[in-house]
Amino acid sequence: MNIIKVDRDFTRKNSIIENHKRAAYEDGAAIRDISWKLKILTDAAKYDVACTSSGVERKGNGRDMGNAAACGICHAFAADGRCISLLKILMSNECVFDCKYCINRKSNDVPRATFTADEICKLTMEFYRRNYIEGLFLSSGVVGTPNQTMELMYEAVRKLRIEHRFNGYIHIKAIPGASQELVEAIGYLTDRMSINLEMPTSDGLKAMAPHKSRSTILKPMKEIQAGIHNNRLTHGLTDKRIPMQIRDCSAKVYEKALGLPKKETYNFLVENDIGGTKTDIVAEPKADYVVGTRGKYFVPAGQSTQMIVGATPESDYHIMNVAEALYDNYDLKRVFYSAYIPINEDSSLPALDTKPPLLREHRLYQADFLLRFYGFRAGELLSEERPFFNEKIDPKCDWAVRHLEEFPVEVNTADLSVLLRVPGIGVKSARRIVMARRYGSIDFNDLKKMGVVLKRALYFITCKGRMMYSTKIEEEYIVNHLVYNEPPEKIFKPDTGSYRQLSLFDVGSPLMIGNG
Amino acid sequence: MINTVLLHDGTLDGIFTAVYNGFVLKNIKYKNNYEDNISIADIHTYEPHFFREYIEVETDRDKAYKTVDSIVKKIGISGYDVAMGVACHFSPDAGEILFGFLVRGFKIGKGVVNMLTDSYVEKAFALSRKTYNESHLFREFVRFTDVKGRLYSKIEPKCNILHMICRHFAERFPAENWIIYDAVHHIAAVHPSFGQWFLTDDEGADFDRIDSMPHDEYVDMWKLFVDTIAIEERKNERCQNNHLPKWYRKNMTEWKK
Ligand code: SF4
Repeated sequence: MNIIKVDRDFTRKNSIIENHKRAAYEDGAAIRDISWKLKILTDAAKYDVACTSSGVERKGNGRDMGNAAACGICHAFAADGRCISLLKILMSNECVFDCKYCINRKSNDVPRATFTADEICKLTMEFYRRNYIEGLFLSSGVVGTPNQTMELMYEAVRKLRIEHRFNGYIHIKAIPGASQELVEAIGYLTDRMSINLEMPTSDGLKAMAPHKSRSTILKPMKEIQAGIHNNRLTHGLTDKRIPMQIRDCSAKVYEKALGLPKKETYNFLVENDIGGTKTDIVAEPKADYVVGTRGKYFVPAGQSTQMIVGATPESDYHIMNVAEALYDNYDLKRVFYSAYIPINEDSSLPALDTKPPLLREHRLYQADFLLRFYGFRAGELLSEERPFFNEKIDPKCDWAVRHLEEFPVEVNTADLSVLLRVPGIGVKSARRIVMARRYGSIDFNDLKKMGVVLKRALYFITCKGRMMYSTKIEEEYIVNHLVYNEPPEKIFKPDTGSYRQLSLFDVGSPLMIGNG
Repeated sequence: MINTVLLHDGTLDGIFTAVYNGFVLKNIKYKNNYEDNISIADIHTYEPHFFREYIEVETDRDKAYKTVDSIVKKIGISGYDVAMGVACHFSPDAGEILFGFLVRGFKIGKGVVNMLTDSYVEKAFALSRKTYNESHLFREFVRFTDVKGRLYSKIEPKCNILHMICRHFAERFPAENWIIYDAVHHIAAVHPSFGQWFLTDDEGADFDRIDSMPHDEYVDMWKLFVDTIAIEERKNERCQNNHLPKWYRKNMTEWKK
């Protein structure tokens, strides 16, 4: 900042003041401009669901801003209940493509805006240091050609990583049809890359997105997969489930890991005027450091994709099979499902007043968890004959009641893989059970403490040979109770083992809809 | 049955001093047949009980450090984490659970963390889990405001979690001068740019003055972003409330009027 010197020459003084006023005005205008763009480009980006910041563990380097936690961190929750973890924006909502389902398609008359690289950097840095976000999620409409778009995106990310030395999380949405060189160059600057599959089948895609094709989507996906694979090997990682740990930077040791925090008197506000700026640095950081993933780590948090559900007629069975193939063949970290929200009028699309299929999306996410963490295969959950998930009970319960010959399971002896298939037992509680039973046998009370949801599990397990209540192992009976969704104390009287007769009719609306 | 309670001043140093004195007492008084007779409690909040003896503990940092060192040595890091979690929880029972947990820990060693069927161990796990959950939430929900280039944040946590989140922010913002002020426990964490963070009490500090500082324009942009990112057709207040209990919103930028 300039310093105004006291000057006897009034004209000169006045002109300096004028300059300052103008500068202040322009600052204000820049802020207004950036706010206006932020509104348009956030609004245009909101339908993209992939907004997690997980998958890579990167320590701070003691000098630059940022680190990343493998588990991801949510910072806020929007009115739709979804977590806000990244600054999710489009670089531009200009687009030369005309995908039918998309708000930004060429044929729509909407206000258009494009961020400059500097604006993207500024927003990211300023939001990040206020602890609003974990990093940046940058997507874009197609400006000119896919390659031109990716070049602009590359420039923004390069500036952010190299000039601003941003060390937090970056997720880039690759543009279908962009060249391998660009994908590779960006890949070395970002943590996660994704390319939206959009529609579960190539026919659906052809109908909805005439400018895209399956191959322009799958080709870069394959390239990213190969890039990740080779890069992980050079860092000595063969198991693809292990998140990349980026620690080889001169992280400062801030405190003894064990000691209690120091207590000193430091009257920050009384003695030091808070007007100091970042220039009063008290110690110089070490010189060697690594910023972000630069040149060393290729897409360390892996890649993800997204499918729109409900715009085209594919069944859940279709979708799960595609997801499974993506996990198996493309090593994707996540597949996201996005309930179609009608924005555009088009004869080939659901009518404008169609409600987004949120419950269906929810069931797909639940099933997706079963694929990723519970050892299920898509073919076990659904089939050509039964291509849709049960609306009333979740996919795991649904599977269990159709495989009653495998139950009940004795929790004190069953294998981990068997426990994982019991409704109401999650990954964490299954591990806790296996751990705890080494030190003594487990009963229902212990299970509750370990986080098992007994109101679902009780029909499928025994503890020391006994069931919790004398429930029947019978499909219709269990389904009725599961749908009723009441805590067991309310349905069963433990002393007699008898239960209150109930049917689906006194159920009301037991369906719960959460977010993915 | 508890019959002796050691009273500390509520600081971490105080709590671990009380643990130290508690073990000294246990070894003198009960030698071999100890049955959970000793507890510790915060002198400001304990509820006097007729048949109990109360001993006030003088906070002694050396004793506290010794206690911490031997916890780590004998029960291991994960046991230490549990103990720390219990020590920082606001529950009036935290003192008794902490002492009971440590008694078992010192007897059994590192294996104590797997004894989930013991009632003290189980309660200790439950409490410390709550503490760490809260500290995790505050890593997410702390909001800094830019005050002339420095960062300031006010939080009001139920548990004493300030020291648990500082390392995270020190690592994340090494170049920034920042302060996080815990208005409930009256402590502040201060991080000088490229320096070592430390805790201090709020005596003499005038944090209210910060509210009269010039407005931070990114606050408005953040609100704009949060409002715009939500999809109208998917509005789900219950889901939002589940993830973000209203209670936490008090000091969060995007919820301020
Ligand atoms: S390419 Fe298609 S989906 Fe992407 S912004 Fe353009 S119209 Fe929308």
